[in-house]
Amino acid sequence: MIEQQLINGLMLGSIYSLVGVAFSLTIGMLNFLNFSVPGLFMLGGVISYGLLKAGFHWSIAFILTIAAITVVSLVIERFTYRWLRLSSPFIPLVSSIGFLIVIENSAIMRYGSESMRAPTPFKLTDLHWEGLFISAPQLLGLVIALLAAAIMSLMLKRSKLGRSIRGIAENPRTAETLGINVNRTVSSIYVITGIFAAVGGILFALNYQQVAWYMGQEVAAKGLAAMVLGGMGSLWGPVIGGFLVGLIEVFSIAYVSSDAVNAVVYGTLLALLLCWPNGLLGARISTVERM
Amino acid sequence: MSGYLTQVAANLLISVILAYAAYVPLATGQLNIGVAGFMCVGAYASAVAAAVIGLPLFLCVIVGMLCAAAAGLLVAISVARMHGIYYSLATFAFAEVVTAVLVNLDAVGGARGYVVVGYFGLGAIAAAALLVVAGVAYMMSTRIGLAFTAVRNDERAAAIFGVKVFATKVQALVLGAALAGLAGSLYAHHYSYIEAQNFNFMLSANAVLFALLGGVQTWWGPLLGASAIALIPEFLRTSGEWRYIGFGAIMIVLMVLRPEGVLTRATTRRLVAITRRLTATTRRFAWGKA
Amino acid sequence: MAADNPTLAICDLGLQFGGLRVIESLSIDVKCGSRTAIIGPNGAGKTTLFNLLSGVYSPTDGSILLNGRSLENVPLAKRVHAGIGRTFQNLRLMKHLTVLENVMLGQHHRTGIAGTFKPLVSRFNRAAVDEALRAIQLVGLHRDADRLAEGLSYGMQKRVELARALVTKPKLLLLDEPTAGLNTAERSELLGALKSAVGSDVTILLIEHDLSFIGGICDRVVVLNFGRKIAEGTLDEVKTDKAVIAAYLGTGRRGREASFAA
Repeated sequence: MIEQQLINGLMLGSIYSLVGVAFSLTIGMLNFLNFSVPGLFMLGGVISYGLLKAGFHWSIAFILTIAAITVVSLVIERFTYRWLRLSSPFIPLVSSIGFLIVIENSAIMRYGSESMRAPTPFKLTDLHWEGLFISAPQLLGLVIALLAAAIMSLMLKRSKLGRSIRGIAENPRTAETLGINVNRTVSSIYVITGIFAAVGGILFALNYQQVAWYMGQEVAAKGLAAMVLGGMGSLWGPVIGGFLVGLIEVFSIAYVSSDAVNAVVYGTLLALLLCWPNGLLGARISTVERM
Repeated sequence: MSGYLTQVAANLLISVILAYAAYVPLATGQLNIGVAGFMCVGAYASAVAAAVIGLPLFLCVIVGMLCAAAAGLLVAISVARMHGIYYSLATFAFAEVVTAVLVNLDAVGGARGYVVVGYFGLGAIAAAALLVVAGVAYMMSTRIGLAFTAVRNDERAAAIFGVKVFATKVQALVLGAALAGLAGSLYAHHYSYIEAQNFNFMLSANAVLFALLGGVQTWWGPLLGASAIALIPEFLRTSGEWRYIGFGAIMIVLMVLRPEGVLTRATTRRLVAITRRLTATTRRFAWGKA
Repeated sequence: MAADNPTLAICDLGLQFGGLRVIESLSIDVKCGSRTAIIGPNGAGKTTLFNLLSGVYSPTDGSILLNGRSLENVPLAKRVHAGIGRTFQNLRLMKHLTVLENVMLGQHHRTGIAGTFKPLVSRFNRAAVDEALRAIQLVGLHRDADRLAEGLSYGMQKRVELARALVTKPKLLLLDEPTAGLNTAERSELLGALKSAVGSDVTILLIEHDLSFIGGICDRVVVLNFGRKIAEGTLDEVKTDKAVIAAYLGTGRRGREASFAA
């Protein structure tokens, strides 16, 4: 049934959207491919799991999870940006892989390498409508993904922080001379990235009722595809890209085979990079090199 | 040699080859994060050549390298004009496509893995690794190495002095891919069993880390990086996860302290200069002129 | 010397970035073996002219002829084969190469297959090494040939750039502010080196602010302002030119702000 597949694809896509935005933010603002995003995503899922398991109310658990991710993001910022501003662009990428290794193995240490069944913290009624089924956590995920992107977009346009962020995206050095506090703004970008990833992880745990140390890897790769599809460095691009990747995945499971999903998704990603590198909404500013 | 030591040695030697597979493109400033994809192509091509066609083992290796190089050429001509993140993402996507396709290919066992006929012992792997290190070291001492460094430092200025930038980048990626194919072929015929899922992103990331942690300014860097990363965990006789956490933490701290890698050209030269000065001082004292 | 046929003929050259005209209907003829200085205030388009000559930018109008051949379809990487060697205002040495290796990069375009596969700095490659060392000696850096470029002072890097440009065996040598950052003694050394090292068959175009240096080597001065040629002649002639004085003092030129805003 095509309508049902469409719904499933969009629901699945909302998580990819969040992760895609997380990647896109650091690329757009700092030109840095942040490989710690899958780790942050997983931490979102695993920490909220741990807190719920420990008996916290879900609201407290989620707030504490976000707080923990904020701290981790600030640490990552120190080691991938602030102390590395003058080095070659590969280096932050390597450090972020280092963080991914540390985060994933810490999770294995604490919770073991098997996947765990996440508790359902609150009851929501699933929707049934003319034979279509919409699961409540999935709908929640969709709404939160769209809401988060809308808030972010509004913030970029209207707030002082948003102006600073755009200034840094344009040119960090000019931004600094114009009196923008670069360090604080970059920290905020990292924190926002972390929150997007962590919210994705929490929603994943709610949806699939499973968490594991490796849960970020697959989703992050799809999130990257979403970002490239929509346009690197933009905000709404990865959101739309995320939904498209979700749809591609659901439809290739339904009409090709469940084993072919990765080949189709990554094949699309590769083809897009080669043929249409700017994505649907992407517009990266090219600078004239001076001699 | 005991079985354990053989395992450590084989792992180390293949890591060294893999480090150079990542290093050669990096020497021209290209960050290939799909090394495992090329390694996978080499491993499967070599295994198929041995099982299906029944070629002699050394020809299988050549086939593996050629197939990986061909894949490298295909990727290189389409991505070598890309910059930075686009380039790295494209190599990443390529590697994911390779493993995703091979997992679905029942002719080579699909997700169940593939049993490889023909066996390479430690000696053959050691000889191959030695050849690779010597070959890359020689290459980097010639004008090819000069062009590589020039392209890495300043593409535009290199072009102004007649360096063919695009061709240089394509050469580097293809050569790197061939080396990854060699590593894959040796891996397949040493462990006698391959699974496409094992040629994953963390393997590619490791190859890049070997090179970047050691330093890409000299050909010594990847050798040091691969040896250190492959051997240090063996000496850290703690539980598995602590080992990896320590490894990740060392990586993060090293990147802050030595962003150009442990061995930069300036460092190696300073070491040489210090040794020279020491010997000179000793000589002066010996002659009584101090 | 074929005095009538210019080595370099720049004809009606124009370059536009969007709506901004950086070079406008510029025509300069440069005789073979002459030494011409390009002067002008900041933003006059001097370095842009060099970038057009060395192929970094393609002109939107006009043509450049080198020894009668149009450079229109000669890409960046082939300009050095056509005989154009240059230095850069913002230094562009390869920081991970030594002085000697940087200079040997200048030989790259004329190295054959055999030379490509020889170890670069070794006795098997003696002819090329010796040639590069001679150029290094000429700019007075023979004691620093083995140092890495990233550790050199500004003045030294300038001189390495000059040696590298000389080693390309150019017919047309473009020097972008060769004396910037050099002290008086170094300037006179450089002047001597240029006079002795560069043969009379090599044409030099140089961007310079030091008038005494220009007087010491150049036979002709072209003055640019806002991408146009506003004066041309000997140094003494242009020094007293009203338009030139006005350009440097910033008077008598209406619409200066307007031009910047464009």
